[in-house]
Amino acid sequence: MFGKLHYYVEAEVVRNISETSRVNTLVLKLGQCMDIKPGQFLMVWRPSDGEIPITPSLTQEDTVCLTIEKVGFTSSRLAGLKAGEKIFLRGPYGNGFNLEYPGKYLLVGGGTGAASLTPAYLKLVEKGVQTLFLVGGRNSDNLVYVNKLRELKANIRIATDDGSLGFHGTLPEFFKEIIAESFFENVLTIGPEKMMVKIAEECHRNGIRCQVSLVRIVKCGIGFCGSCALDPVGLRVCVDGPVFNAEEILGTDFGAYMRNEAGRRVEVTL
Amino acid sequence: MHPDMKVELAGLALRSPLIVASGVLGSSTGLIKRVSENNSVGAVVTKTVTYNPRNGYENPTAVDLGFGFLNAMGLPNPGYLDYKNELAELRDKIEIPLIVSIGPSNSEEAAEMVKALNDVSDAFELNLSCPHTEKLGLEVGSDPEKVRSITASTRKYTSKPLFIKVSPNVTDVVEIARAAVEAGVDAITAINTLKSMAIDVNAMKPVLSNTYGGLSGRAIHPIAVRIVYELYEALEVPIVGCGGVYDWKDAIELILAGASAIQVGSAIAYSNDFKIFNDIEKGVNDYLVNKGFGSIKNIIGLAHKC
Repeated sequence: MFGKLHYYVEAEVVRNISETSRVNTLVLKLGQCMDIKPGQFLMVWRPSDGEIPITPSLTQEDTVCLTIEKVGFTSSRLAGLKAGEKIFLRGPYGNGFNLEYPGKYLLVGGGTGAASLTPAYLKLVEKGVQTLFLVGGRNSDNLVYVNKLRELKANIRIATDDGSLGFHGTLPEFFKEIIAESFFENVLTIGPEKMMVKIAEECHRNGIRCQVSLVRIVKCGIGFCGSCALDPVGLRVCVDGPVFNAEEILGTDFGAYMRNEAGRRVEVTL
Repeated sequence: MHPDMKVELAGLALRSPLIVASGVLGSSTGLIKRVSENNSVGAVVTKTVTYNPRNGYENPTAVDLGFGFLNAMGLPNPGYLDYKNELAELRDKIEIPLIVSIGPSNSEEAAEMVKALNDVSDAFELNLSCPHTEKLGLEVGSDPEKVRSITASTRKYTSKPLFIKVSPNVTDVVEIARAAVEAGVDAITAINTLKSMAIDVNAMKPVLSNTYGGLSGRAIHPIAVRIVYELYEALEVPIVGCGGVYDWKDAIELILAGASAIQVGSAIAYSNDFKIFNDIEKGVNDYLVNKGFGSIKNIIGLAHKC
């Protein structure tokens, strides 16, 4: 149990795919295979650029894809890497999605969330489970992974805030319409937290089992530093999550507060 | 027979000798509350709070070396004024003593912090031993005169039990601890992490953004045993053993060396629950039964030759 994950796995960038003006996907060849469950995350390090948690968008033996939005210094640097450059991965960490629950699955991905949900989608397909994939973004230029999902023959529906493609409106609004049309026993969602909390509340009202993947400031990644804790329940995103059953965290700081670098409780803005 | 596991530590009545060490669980009052609900936990030490808010260092801040953990978090915390409000709310919700860890850089800061936090804590632990922060921790904690003045200043403004957490990164731990005792601490926590570093051979760079960090976990346990043993020989105050406690044997070893209570930190890594505290307490309990002792107090310091 202790000391199973000593050192970083070296990974070489094979290709850098531009998804949108703010999002890139790195295709990586690993120095050694990693067994990553859908929804688990990696700590991704490049010396002098920092280290951040990322849920991979594709995991296949010695190939891993990371779909990265340029939100801060480290993510911007990583998103700009060229073929041949090296980065270092530790993990996988966290619990991942529980895909054993019976019934149909509705996957709801906002922004890069659609990419991070793809390994779960592939696993469900492999198990012969019926799925529908909702992808949302501000406009048609901001949609991530739509072509990839089409290539993978996913059953997808699109929502854009400005109506430039698919449903005109937000993902939670679209979600309401979809679940009114047909019932899903399960929902998996990754995206901006304000969006996820709305999806989770809607699931709660409709008796749908909903799993959400949370992002917090992750420092150690292995459960001792406490920087990623969700209050007041005291759950750590890195070891108790990053995936939570929504019922477990509705009514907590989920969707409302997080802790900043200094551990101060601040409002969730996105 | 059920041995008595209750401990009296510098005026604190603990239902169990096991204490959550400072530095783990961060500033989350939710996590502190959750761990306090475990019956095998006797007290919680908070993350060290400093005078000014600190973001801590950039990642990587921690790495698992297998035989222990290397970290340079950089004492991230919201600062004592901000944290005071959270601690005030927390204290009414937990049933075990809350020991507030403070990391002052001088005696003025110590005085201000203790005055402000006195009403929201059951005891204080002075962190003068963090090995990787400028002008804090070990930089003041390796100088007996600074230790003496900060301790005296802290003592002046609180009558609550006062602990000092000492560093193994000094030539003579006893000298530092003695200065603190003379200035009024009630107990010594030994030990903090050991200054160290790791280099990734593929990246060919130090792993930690801060280059240097503190080593905790399994690797440092024998050092903790040695230092607890030395302190017990030299001083009259109670000692809290800390360093690489993963199971009951590690805990018993420190108690036999002279510890009156035990802190557990690194061993909570990877754990979803805090069952490790139950496992350690049960193991200590069974040990006492097997050896025929009625109370944990009966074995404190027993390894010392009379």
